Amino acid sequence: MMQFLFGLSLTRCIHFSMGLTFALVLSGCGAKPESAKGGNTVAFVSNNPAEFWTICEAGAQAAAKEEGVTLVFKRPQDSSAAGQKTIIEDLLAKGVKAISVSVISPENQTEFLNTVAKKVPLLCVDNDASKSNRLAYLGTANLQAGRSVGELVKEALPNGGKVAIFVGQMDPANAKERRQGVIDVLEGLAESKILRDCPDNKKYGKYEIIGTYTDGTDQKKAKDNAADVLSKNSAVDDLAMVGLWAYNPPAILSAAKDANRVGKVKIIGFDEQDVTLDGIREGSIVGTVVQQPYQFGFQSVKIMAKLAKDPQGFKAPPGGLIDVAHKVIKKANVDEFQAELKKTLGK
Amino acid sequence: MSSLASRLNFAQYQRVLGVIGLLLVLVGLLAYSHPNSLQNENLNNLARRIGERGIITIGVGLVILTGGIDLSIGSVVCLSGVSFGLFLEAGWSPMVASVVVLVGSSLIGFSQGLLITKLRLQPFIVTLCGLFLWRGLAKFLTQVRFDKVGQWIGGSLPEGEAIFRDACRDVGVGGRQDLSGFFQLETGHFLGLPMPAWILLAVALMSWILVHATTHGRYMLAIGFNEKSAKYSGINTDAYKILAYTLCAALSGLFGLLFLMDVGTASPNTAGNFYELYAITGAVLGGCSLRGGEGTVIGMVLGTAVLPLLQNLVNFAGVPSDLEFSVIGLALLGGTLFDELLRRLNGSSRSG
Repeated sequence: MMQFLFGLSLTRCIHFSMGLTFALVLSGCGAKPESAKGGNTVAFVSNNPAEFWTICEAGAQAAAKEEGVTLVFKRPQDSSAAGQKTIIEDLLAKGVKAISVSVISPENQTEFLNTVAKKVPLLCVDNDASKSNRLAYLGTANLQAGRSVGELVKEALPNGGKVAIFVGQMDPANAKERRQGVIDVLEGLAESKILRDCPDNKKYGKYEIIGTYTDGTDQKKAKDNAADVLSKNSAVDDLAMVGLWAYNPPAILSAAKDANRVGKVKIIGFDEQDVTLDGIREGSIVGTVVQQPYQFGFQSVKIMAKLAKDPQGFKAPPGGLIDVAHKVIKKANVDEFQAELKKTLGK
Repeated sequence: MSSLASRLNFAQYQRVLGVIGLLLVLVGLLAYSHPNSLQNENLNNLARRIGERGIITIGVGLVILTGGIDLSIGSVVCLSGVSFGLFLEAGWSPMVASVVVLVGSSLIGFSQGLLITKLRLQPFIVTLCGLFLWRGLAKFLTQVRFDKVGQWIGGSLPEGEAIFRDACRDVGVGGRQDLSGFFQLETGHFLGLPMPAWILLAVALMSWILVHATTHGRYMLAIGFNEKSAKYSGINTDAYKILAYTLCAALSGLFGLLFLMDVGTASPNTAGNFYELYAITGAVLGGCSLRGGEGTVIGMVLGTAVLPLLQNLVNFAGVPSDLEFSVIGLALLGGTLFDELLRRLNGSSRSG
């Protein structure tokens, strides 16, 4: 009986929360469009609340100031496609003139994004939904960025070796493309164009991919995964550990410290967490590939502002791709980069 | 009463044997999976992870014994880890910071216990609210610029400076060089065992004394078994339930401290996500019944070991990590089915 009640209250909770969401959406639909008042408001919707977006927002605000538009910057607290949908529906109801989105689940959100694109100009930033009717995609070319990571692996292990890859989830396009880029370079392919099937436990050129470990964005699990790989390969000298999402390189470094393998194991990262940059300075991390989130925000708001003033005011490049170049950070340029980053964040 | 007790003991005995069997299978598979899996380095990692996880499993186990549930564990872990990080960033001594965090988490459990007993709200609802509330508070705290609070209160905050950041952020030990001594609590070893394993042994020993060697434990089990009859036989049921929730939150707070010491940083968005479910899974695998009134501390400790072993096995056997949740789910389902089968064969099933 108790268990029955237990189950019942769970269903009730779910129904209740679904009802609440529904009500919120309905109330969103009922609101008077803001555009009637003539405000030029543009919106940016991130894919999660992570710190990465703080840098992006700084760029977005700077562009909004220059262009004289109002910017709404939203971060879905639950990092879910559903949360994003609610936010975007409310923004549309409020009458924003253009929207930029970092798409969470490209295939599944395409239909919804197309309904958005019918109402206002839509840009995909950071994560693309290439099959949707978005005007353009602005962000890092992740296949290329992955290739730069692969080059760092090659520099660290010129004679070949084992490579383990760490990432939060494998379904987002950026994870797939970065991994692909890494493998293409290791295998010696001149150019990366499409995603292909590259299984683990296979040799690519002189390098064996020994595994792709996901952690669901749990930092502790990320560290546990790295520790498991280190102990499983305790006798392997030519080991590279590649972290594809921002928190992965610090997690790998922390596990390497516990296992006394700092310096022996080659750590290569992505993004610019403080620990990663400090690690590069100390020599415990080989290097990292950074995106330019400030430019994501700045350039996308510039385009949205043009569109808000004149819906025909922006012509997308062929293919709709606007590449914001990535940078490779190594010991030689880490100080300069970190100083610049601190200035941007106003730390 | 005595026949009931012996029957329960028999059922418990069976559960403990069941989980030992499961653990042996897992260790066997792990040994088979890779030659390095039983080397010191991996055994150390496992002992540390089981030690950490066991702390929250015992926490929720105590609540489950009294017939309750605590869904707020992961969020209390998050709030505790994040606050500990904030205190360390502010330059506090780790000793003072950890005491403040532990007292704070105990108060969280105490307040949830009060709502559940004195206002007779359902534990599921109260702790579900906690799940949202405490994580939300953790996010909020990382947005406050504590170094400017003084100026803000005094009204002397310079123009253009805000007291809140635009978004929450990860906290961490930053550039502190003086922490390695205190952090030995997580990273250190004693007699060859990692410290978290010793902490778990201490927590388990104290809980064992509470549950199995004193009348208090009998009362807690009696409350879980049938709260009304426990009340009518003169047991202060409210006090014991509040005690269970307070201990659970205090242990979650302790886990949060270890989390930050292990990882070095805590994200208010992800730290502790799902950990209440890991803890409940461990307790159930170890023989706690969600109906209340059944469970042993030894079972909880053994049940705790299942998930870290499974996750380690997934990594060593080279199973794609995306399958990990399915493997966990199947293991829990299998354990539950096996146990139910044994119960029915023995005719000792209690109608739910």
